[in-house]
Amino acid sequence: MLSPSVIISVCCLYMALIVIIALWVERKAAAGKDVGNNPVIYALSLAVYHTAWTFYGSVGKAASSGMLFLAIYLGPTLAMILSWVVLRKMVRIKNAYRITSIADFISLRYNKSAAIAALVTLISIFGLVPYFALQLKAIFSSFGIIAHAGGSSWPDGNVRLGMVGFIILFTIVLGVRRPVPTERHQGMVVAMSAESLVKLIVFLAVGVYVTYGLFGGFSDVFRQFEQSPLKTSIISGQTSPSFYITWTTYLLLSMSAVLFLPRQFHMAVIENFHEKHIRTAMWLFPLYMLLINLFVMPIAMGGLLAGYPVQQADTFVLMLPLSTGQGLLALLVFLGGFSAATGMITIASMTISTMATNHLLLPVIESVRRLGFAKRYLLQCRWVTVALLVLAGYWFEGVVGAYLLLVDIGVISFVAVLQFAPALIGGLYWKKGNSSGALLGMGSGFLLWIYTLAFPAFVHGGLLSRAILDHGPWGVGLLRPEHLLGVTGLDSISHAVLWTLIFNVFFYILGSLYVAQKQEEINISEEFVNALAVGPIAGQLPGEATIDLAAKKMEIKELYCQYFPEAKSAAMVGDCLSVLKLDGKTTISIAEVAELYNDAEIRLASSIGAAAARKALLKSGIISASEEKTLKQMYADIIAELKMPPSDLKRKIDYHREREKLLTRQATELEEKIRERDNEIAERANAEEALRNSERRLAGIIDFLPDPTFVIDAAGKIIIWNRAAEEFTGAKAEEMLGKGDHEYAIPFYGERRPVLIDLVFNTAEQEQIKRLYPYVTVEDGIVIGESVTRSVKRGEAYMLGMAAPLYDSEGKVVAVIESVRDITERKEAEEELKRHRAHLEEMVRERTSELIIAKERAEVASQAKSAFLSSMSHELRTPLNAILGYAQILKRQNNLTDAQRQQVEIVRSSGEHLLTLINDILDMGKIEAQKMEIEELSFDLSALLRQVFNIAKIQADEKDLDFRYEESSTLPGIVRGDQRKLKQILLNLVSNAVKYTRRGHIVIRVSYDPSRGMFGCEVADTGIGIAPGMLETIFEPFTQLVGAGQIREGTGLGLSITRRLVTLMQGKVTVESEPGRGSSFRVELPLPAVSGGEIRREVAGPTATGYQGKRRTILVVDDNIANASMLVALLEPLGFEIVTADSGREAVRQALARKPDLVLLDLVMPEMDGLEAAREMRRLPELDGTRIIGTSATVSDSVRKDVFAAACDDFMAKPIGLELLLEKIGKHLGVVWEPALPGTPGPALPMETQELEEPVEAPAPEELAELHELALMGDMQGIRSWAAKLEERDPKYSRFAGKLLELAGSFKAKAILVLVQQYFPSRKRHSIREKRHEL
Amino acid sequence: MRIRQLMRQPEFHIFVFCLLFMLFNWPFLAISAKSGLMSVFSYLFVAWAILILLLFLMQRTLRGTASGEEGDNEGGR
Repeated sequence: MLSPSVIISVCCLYMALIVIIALWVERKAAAGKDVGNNPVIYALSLAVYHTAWTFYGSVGKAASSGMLFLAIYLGPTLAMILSWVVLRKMVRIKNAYRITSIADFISLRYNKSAAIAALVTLISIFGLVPYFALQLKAIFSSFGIIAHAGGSSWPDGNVRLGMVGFIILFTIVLGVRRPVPTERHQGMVVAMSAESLVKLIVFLAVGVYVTYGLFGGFSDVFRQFEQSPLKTSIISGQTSPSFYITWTTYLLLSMSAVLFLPRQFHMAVIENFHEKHIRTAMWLFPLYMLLINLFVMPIAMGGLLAGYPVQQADTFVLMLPLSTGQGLLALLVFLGGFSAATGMITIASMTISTMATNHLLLPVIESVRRLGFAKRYLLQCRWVTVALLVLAGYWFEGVVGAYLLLVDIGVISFVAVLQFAPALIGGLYWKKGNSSGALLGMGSGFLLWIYTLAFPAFVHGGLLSRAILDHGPWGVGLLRPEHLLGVTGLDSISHAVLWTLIFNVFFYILGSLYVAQKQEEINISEEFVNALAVGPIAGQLPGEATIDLAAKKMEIKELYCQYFPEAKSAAMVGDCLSVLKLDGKTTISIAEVAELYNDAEIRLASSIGAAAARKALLKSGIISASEEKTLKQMYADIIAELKMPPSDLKRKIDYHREREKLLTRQATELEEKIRERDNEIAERANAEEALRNSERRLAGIIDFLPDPTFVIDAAGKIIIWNRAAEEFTGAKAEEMLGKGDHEYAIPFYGERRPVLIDLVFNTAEQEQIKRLYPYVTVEDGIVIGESVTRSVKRGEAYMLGMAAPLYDSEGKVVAVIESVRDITERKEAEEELKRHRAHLEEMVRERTSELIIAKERAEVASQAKSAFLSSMSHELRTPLNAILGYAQILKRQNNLTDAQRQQVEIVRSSGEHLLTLINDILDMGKIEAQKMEIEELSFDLSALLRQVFNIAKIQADEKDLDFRYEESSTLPGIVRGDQRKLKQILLNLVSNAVKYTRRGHIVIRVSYDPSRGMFGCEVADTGIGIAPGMLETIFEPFTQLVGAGQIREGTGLGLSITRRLVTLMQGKVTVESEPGRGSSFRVELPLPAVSGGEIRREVAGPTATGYQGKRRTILVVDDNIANASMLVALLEPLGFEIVTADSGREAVRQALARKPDLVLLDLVMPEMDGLEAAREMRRLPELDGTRIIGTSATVSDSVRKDVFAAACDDFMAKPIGLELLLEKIGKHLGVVWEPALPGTPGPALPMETQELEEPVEAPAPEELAELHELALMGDMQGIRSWAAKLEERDPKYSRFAGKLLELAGSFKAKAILVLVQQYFPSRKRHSIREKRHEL
Repeated sequence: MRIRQLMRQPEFHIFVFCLLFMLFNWPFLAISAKSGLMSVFSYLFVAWAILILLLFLMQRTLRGTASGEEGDNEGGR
């Protein structure tokens, strides 16, 4: 059998093993590995509920009361149903306030009432001391049984005391080694869990052994028991009403005990690692209880059936194995019981020692100054307390242990602990419960507990007289402790429970309602009541992160969910945590809670407004009252830590407020600046965005450009590479973008080299680029160049590149764009063009040479023409010279009749007209050759006008036109200008008017503006007129207007010459015309008036008949006999000696021979011309006194003529005017002319003037009838005969007859008719006309 | 899902507590006791076992509601 020493040794080993486990766990915990943080360990640690009472007492109770023992475990099972509601709440409060014990917990709830804490401690001590006793009793009993079985009388007193000491030591080592009671005792918890496992296994082993070893299973045990007489003792009790009362009482007690027993509270609440562990404990702990109780009834029944008395039923567990020789099993049972007992003692003493030290000893130490030193020995005090508690239990066991079953002792403790229930449950769920009520309730309950349970226990222990139990104190039966107020029928426990609860609850409620709560208590009561609703409570030091963050998150999320969808709410909460950098944390400090609260409020305010958000946050209770209190306390502590007098504090606060104001102002300014900066940044961002958009657009535009284009930034990297560039080079944009270092040249040239872009960026590469690009030009900042590429894709190609810089807003070059164009085709076209051009130039050269030849030919032809014209002119003028000369000579004849004179005049005027025609042709030639010169000579304007009028009048008369001359202003006498050209102009105009006028009139209107010296002449007619489209063309050469029935007359050069002459004379000619109504030509010419003294008479003086002085000799040299004869005929009658010569050589010879005074030398002659002859004569000294007057029919401006004129003393153009000739002769020979005698014809006056001045006498109208008839018939011969007869009959009609002869000679029938009609009455004309019609 | 919602409510816990308190009390206990000790024993332990099973199921629904736990998904792991 087992000797005591073996048992003790096993116990020691077992305890050592437990300690080792505990130390190992704590070492692990120190290393950061929380072995105790395990829900299974937590659930097993709760099994410390199963003390030696369960191990031994349950069987004892089962043997005595049947199933009643089970209520002790069903109660905790029921309690565990509510564990998620109640236990979790306590755990959360514990976590919030770092509670150390149930006393701490209850007192905290009631405004940290020290009295309550002390009362709870006292109740615990008083209530638990019996429990210790129970455990010790079990240990001693079991030890004794085993020892007794081994033949020993152990344990005696010393051994017991030694075991107590061992247990004290074990407790201290296991649970009271550290001074801070708030720390978790992981080692101890794990050790207790291990012990719980040991208990269970051992008990199950015993149960299985008894049930299936000693019996045939459950049914066999029950069957045997029910068949035995023993059953009545149990069965009878099972059906009595008191059983159910007791049952219910036990249920209540155990429910209370499993939570409120100090050790249970410690294990379930204080040592709880995590709320979630409660969930496991919810089912695992009841399962543990079920298992450990499963074999209680069989063992009890087995023990009874084995014949053991009910009184020893507590030891059946041990006795049965022992009695059947299962020593080892018995030893295990002992160890299990020992384990259960020490576990309870350890935990209970540890927690009660803490309570006692904190709530009993410390207040005393605080109040008694002399005990102040003890504060340094609190740990030791706790050791002492542990020892005292265990010893007290040892004492109690010694006093009452013999009289009570284990279960009874335990239940007494349960009832004591039950007194915590109203205050604790009320504190958790009833806000109005206050410290007064709690104190009154617990106090009254505790007192009644003492009176109704403890006191009877002592009585039963023999310490007190039993009379009190039987008769009540002082004989008052109603006060009997076990039958208060005469209540009977209840067992002592139920009785005590009834009264203690009644009083306890009554006073708790009454006290709470009667005494008003303090504000702090109200706050903390809300914390307790709402502990689960509002989450973990912040009651710790401000800096410590002890508040459960998840709960706060959940609360905020729930609040947000009232306003937003869940997803958004979760996101907002996430943002809160992220901003406050609380991600990943599980617990936070009160300060962080405050920050979280503020952030949550701000976020909510952004949606529902600040006021509403504040209200919502306040209502939500996210910051609980206790947290608020803690916050306040935090501030208070901060102020307290400053340790300064109020005045200093105020001064500092003022200083800091001022500083804060200053800082606030600065902050405001800073914020303003930041805002401005933000705005700037925003603007810049917008601008950048706009720029990016612009760049994107630009890139888009560039991308669609047909030419390969790319953009290089300032760093030389490609930022744009368009589609055309891709197609041209085959290099994709994604490959090219970002490349630099001339890499953009590779797709074009197959090598890295500078391109035009680089010329914009880097002028240093200018020379190289110019070498690569033969043609580089810069126009308006755009660099243009051509080059030949040998791109990979295209091969050789001509390219025209254009590069331009891109500027930023500040004008800085930020990038350069280059566009490349394939100009190969253009180049080829240019080459082709060049070839064509060369060919064309060759053709032009050929053509030019041809043209030069043609021009030369033309010039030759022109020269030939000029020569021809000159020759023709000369040839025509030569006979004209004779004709006009002889006509003049004839006119000088005195013996001529008027008719003859008229005829001579006609000869002369016709010659003059012929001369004019020749001059027209020559003038046109001159004008075209721009060789026409203007002479500036003075002449008689009026005389010139008369000449013109008279010449034109004849023409007008021929057409029977009314020809008038009008002067609108006074004309100057002598003017300066080119007389000949003016005459030609006027004659042209008037001749044209006559030519194109069939009937009506022609008017010459002249005017003169003396201020401007401007002569104006208008020639108006009533002719056919000119179409508007012809007004300009009429001035073109060879233009003639041909009217109906008209034939072309003249050369068609008249108006052309007129305009050219007018232009040459600085004048202008205009025309106005209306077809069918007539035309009006107006000429304006500058002809400055000349005073009389300036007049150089250019006409010959009075007609000479001879000269005075010696006879002079004149040599007439002319190869034309007619001309020479004419001059001889002129000069010889004047008394000159005339010598003639027909050539130059002859002239020289004659001059040498005759030494003439004057030589009239013709230019053009055979053998020796006039020039040579003149030079020869000039060379001969013999002829020094001989004057030479050159003559020539050559009018063209030839050098030869000019030289000839220079060689002579004077020059005259043919036809020679006789008067001019006489003047020149007089001038050079110095002769004085003898004037003609009176009666001799004077110088030839224009006949027109005579006509104007002298009326022509005509025959009577009757005689004119024949003439009129002849004129109508156009019989010119008849008219001439009639005129001759008239002149012969009466000389007074000679002028009339002469005029008729003149007109008839010119075949001017109309003029004759006009003349006749002037003298023929109209009536007569009519009669004659009528007569003609009759004929 | 509804059962899960039902079980996680505190009121359901109290309801189960009351129900079991009655089931483990008179008169149900007395009824079972009439048939003998075995029947009481069986009744109590079977009811107890059922209760433990119920508690096991109940606690599963409570996953994610403890402070420090992230949502209910933990229960599915």
